[in-house]
Amino acid sequence: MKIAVLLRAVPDPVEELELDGEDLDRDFLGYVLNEFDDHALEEALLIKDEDGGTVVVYALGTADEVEQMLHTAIAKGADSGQILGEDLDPIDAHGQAAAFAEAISGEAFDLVLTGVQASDEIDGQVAMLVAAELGLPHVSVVIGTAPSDGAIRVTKEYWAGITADYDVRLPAVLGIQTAREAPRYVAVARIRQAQESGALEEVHIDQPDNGSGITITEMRLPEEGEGAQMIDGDETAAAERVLEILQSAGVR
Amino acid sequence: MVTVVFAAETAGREVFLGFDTTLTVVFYVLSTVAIGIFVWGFYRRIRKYTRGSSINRLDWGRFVRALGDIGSNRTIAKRHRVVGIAHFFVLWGFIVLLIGTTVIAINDDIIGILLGKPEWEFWHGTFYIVYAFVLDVFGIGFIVGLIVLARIRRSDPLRLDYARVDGVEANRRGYSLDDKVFLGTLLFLGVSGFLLEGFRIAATDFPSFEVVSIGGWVIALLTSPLGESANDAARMATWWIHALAALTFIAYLPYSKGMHVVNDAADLAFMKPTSAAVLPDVKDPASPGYATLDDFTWKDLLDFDACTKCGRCHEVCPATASGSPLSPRDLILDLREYADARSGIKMWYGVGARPTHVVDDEIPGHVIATDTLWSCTTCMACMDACPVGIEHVPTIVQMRRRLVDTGDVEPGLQKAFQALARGGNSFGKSAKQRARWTKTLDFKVKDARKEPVDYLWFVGDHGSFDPRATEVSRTVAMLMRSGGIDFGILYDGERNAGNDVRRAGEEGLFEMLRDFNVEAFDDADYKRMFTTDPHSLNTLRGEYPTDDDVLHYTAILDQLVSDGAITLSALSGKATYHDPCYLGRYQDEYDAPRRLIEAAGLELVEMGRCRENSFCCGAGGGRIWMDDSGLDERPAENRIKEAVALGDDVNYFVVSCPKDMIMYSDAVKTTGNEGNIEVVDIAQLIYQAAEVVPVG
Repeated sequence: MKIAVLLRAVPDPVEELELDGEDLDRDFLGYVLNEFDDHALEEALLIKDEDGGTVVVYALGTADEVEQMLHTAIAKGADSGQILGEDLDPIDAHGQAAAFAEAISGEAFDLVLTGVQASDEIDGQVAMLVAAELGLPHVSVVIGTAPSDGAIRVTKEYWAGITADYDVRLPAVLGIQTAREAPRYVAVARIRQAQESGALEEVHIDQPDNGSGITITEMRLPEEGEGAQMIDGDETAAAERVLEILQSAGVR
Repeated sequence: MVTVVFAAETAGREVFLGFDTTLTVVFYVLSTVAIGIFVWGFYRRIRKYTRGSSINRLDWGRFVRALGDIGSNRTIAKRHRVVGIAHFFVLWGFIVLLIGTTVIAINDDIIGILLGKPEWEFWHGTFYIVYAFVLDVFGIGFIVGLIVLARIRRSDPLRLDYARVDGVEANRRGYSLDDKVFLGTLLFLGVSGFLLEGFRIAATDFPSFEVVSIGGWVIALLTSPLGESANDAARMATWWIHALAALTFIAYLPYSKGMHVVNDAADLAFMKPTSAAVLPDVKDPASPGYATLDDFTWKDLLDFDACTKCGRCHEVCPATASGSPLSPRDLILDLREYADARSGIKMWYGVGARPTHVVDDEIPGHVIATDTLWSCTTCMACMDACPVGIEHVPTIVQMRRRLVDTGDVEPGLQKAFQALARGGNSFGKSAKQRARWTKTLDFKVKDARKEPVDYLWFVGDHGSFDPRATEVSRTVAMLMRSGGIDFGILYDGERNAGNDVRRAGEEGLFEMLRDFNVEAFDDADYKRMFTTDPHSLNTLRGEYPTDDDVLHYTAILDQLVSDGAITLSALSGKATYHDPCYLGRYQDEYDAPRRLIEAAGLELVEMGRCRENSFCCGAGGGRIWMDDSGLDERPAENRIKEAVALGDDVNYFVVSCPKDMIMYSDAVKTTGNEGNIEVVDIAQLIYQAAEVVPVG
């Protein structure tokens, strides 16, 4: 099985986010691999561990950290990787999907995996847009796969923990919510070896257009509330106090 | 004088008294067979060690010290004085009796038979008298020592319970049997030797010089009423019984616990006391650590065989005490059994207890379970307690390196590693927030990268991010300032020092953190360094390429107090002090904190387990990042109970390590001891006692 995994760098939530009008102030931001994409990679590697095949990882060159992300993926067991473009400006979901689709279209992949969403793309469109670009079947919110003979059985999660299995013919695009197992650890020394392996290729692409036609007019930080009131005392006293507060607020 | 009294010119005895040629030949044939079996077993052992991978342990200074350790039995007497003294008598009894036998062999066999020069024989006269006396004295010591050791064994101390801690089914009856056979055989040899001597003296009409054979003489007085011929018959029988026992013992040695007489001396000579503080480098980055038996060094293989199962490591190990699957003794014995099975070596009582593991090539995760390896806190109590120089900690780290390389990492540890690779701290915080703890100080802490300072303060992760530990960091900052110490920090240029990362087996990450810090040190202008974190202290001192003078903050505070730069008004009450593993056992610093506690006016009450024998809080070696919810009792809880048991009037549990502050404040809560004892850092204590005048 030949599997493509699409990886995205997202702003590191550890850093304090500051706004610059319509976007995050990206000058001092650090980037990390999108958590859901890490699961997509893990699922791909699990399939490879079980059934053999190759895994190729792709990422758009939107951040300095992308190279490290791809080396890490290669160290974990991906066979090769491509960085698409360099120093690219942030791209919306349509633009990302178009760029990814173009990069992988010539390669005859059986399976294309990516995270169901990203912290900066919560509406989760990239997987389905890639599928649309390539004219392939697509399932999202996938929590497990079981490939078998030219097809794949995927488990999709619905609301309230309901799950359903789908048999999907290949090739197909999957949006991964979680891999069957937690993403594996790879030792730093192995990442260093991957850096020297030459398995990573940089491919020039022009800055993709934002395809959605939607622009952000203003971005705001969450408003700080009034703060919580701590209630002291034992259970009885606390319960009485809660009742008092609710009654004084007009709750009957 | 002696010659007159004992008629020394006639002193001496015949070894083969009353033997015909056949009997003598039978004895020599049997001896040759016994020695042959011994040599074969011994050779197999040596060949096993020479198969180990290489490591340089040629240290003449160490060899000389080892002679002292071996000769004095100091390492055995440590914290077990009676055992040490008894073993001392057994050891020296054994050595002297062995020399005695060798003297006879040289006299009779080499000079008398091989060289054919009976006129050169010397085993008679005055020499014989001194010989007989010395051998008897040491022989008595030998027997008394053995009886004491047998008594201790019969009292069945917990450390001699060979039950495994991980619940794996194992038959260890062979071990107990061998212990008894070994001790019993030695005792039998000693006793039968004296009986033989007694019968001989009684059968040869009490030659006057033989009075120096005090043990034999007393026995002879008791047996003489039987008559000379009965004594002579008993002599002949005992001669053979004693000889056959001795020959069997020689043959048995390399297939039993008896091998320890050679292995343990060698292990003590080749051990490196700093091997846990300064861990071995990774030999081959493409395949780090120990995967298969071929990766273990000859010293490791010697370690496995050196273990006498004394159980001292088992007794002091915080992992064992907390109900985790690790016992250092089980680990070493499992590795021994595996190595023996792989080398085709059998003990006389059979192969090791878990022969099923022989099919595995991979040791970490198979022969030694993953959970077992992650249980170690690297506190080094095992190595400190081990009387024979086994180096458990580096061996465990080597196996962890393999687990990390194959991605078999405990989930909490994985999270910490990933956070450390990203932001250089295990808290998952941005490096930019590293010096945020300084913001609430009413002065600005210098940035050592921007202005010169006397001291560069390496704060460490916990002192920078954990709320309880940052409180201590601020106190240290105020004390240093009031004591006139010119110091600065690296702000966002500091990373976790990597001590625990390295001990958790992530060598690549350790190198990354170390290199980052070394670059930051290069950019800073300072004369000396101090740290509030003993773990950082250990790696900065021994594992960084820098040759900075690195101090623990208690050393500086101690200096400031003794110089009068900080004056203290007396506090009242009693305090106990917990020695951090990485300050005490690892860096050998015990006294400055104690002086400070007393300088603050408190009465220091020691816990039973203090100084070298301090009991780990459970946080070291990466354990602080791992899940400890499965433990029966966390080591820190065990420790707090020990402190509380000192009495109601001990108010303070004094610590000098940020991890201790965290572990013990939690343990005080989980053991319900809030109000009974207060965990304070030594800096907080000094701050309370000091008349700190805000400067500037």
